[in-house]
Amino acid sequence: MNRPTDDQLLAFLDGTLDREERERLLDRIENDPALARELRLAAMGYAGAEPMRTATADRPTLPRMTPRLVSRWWIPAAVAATLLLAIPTTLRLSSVSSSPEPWTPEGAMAAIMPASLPTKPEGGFVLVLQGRWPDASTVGADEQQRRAREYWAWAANLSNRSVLMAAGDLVWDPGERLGPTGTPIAVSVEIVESPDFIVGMFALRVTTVEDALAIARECPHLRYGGSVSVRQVGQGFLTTHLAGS
Amino acid sequence: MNDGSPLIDRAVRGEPEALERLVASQRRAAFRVARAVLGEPDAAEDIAQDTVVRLTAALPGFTGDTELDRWVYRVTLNLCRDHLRRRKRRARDIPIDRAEAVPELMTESLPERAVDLERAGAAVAEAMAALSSEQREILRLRFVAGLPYADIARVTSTPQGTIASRVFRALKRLGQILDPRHLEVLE
Repeated sequence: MNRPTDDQLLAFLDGTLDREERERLLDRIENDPALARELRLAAMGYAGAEPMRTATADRPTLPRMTPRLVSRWWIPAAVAATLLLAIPTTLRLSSVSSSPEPWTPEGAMAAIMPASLPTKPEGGFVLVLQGRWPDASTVGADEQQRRAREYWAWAANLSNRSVLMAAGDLVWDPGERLGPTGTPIAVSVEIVESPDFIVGMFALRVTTVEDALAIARECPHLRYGGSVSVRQVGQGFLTTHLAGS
Repeated sequence: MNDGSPLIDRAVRGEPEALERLVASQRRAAFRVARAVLGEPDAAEDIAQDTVVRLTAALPGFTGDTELDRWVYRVTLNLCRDHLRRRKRRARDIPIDRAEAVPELMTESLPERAVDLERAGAAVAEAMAALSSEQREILRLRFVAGLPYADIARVTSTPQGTIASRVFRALKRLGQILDPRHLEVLE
C-alpha cells in the first residue's frame, strides 16, 4: 500500500473511514514508525483543537430562525454597528475641525471627541443583510445549522483578513421602534416579512465600494434568497476614533 | 447456540458465547485504533476495555454490524482524545520524568478541574498563536465553525485535497507544540 493520503489520515482521525479502509491504514501504520508518529502528532493536535468548538459553540448563529431569542454573537460590536447606522450624516467628523457652534450637533460631537482625532479618518462600509430566507418556515434544523455555519465561515474569513470591524445578527422579530417624541410605533407583520427587513449587519474596514461589493457578493445571504445593501460610513467609524484615543 | 443469525443479534438476545465473541472482536478493533492514535499499548488496552464496557451497556440499541463498528471506532477515538487532553494537562503540572507515575484518573475537585481546563484552554490558545495565520484560519474554519472540508474548500476557493493536507499539517504542528514531550522545550 502506498503512503495514505492526508485526506485518509484526516478521515481516520475524524472517525469517518469505513472498516476496510481503516484496516488497511492501520496495517500500514503498524509497519511504518514515521507515519505512526505523524498520526500521533496530528491526533494530539486534534485533541487540542476539538474543544475550541465547544468553547465557542454559542457564537455563530446567523440568521436566527427562532423569534425572540436574544442574539449572543458579537452583541457589543453589533450595538456599536447599530449606533453607527443611526448617526446622521450631519454628525460627520469632517465638521469637527471647523469650530462649530456649541449648540449644533457638530458642536455636541466635538465636545465628546478627543482633540487628537486624525484629520483624515479611516473610511468604512457597512453591509446590511435584508430579508428572511424565503424557505425559512420549511427548512430543517440541520439545514439551518449548516447555513449558519456558512455565514460564520464567511465572517471568520473576513475577520482573519482583518477586514471585519464589527458584526451581528438580529433577531427576527421587529423589536421596538420609537417615534420622534419617544412614542412607540407599531411594526406590522408585513414589515417583518418584507424583503427589506434588516436581519444582520457587518461593519467593514475597506476603503472602496468595489472592495465592499466584492465582499458582499460572497455573502451566503445572497444564496438563500436575501439581499445585501452596501452603505458607506461617512468618513469613518466612530469606534475607530474612540479606540485610538 | 448458533442459529445462523448475525452475531450482534445473538449477543443482544443474551447468548453468552455470542456476547463474548462480539466483545473480543470489538475490543481488538478498539485496541488497534487506540494504539495507532496513542502509541502506548498500556493506555490503548485501558481504552479498549473502557470502550467495550460502554458497548455492552449500549448493545441493545444496535441493529447491525456496520453501525456497531462505526460506534466502537468513534467512541474509541473520543476516549483517545480525552486521554491525550488529560496527558497534556498532567504534563504541564508534573515534571516530565514523573508524568508516567501519575494515576490515569486524577481525583480532582471541581474547582481544581475548572482551573485545569482553563489552563488547558490557555495552552491551546498559546499553541494556536504559534501557528501561521493560514494554519490558524483553517483550523478555526474546521474546529470553531465546524465546516466540512468541502465547505472550507468553497469558502477559501481551494481544492478539497489541498484543504485536507493543510488541516493535517496544521494539526501536526499543533500536536508538536502541545505534545508533552515538547513541553519542556516550551516552558
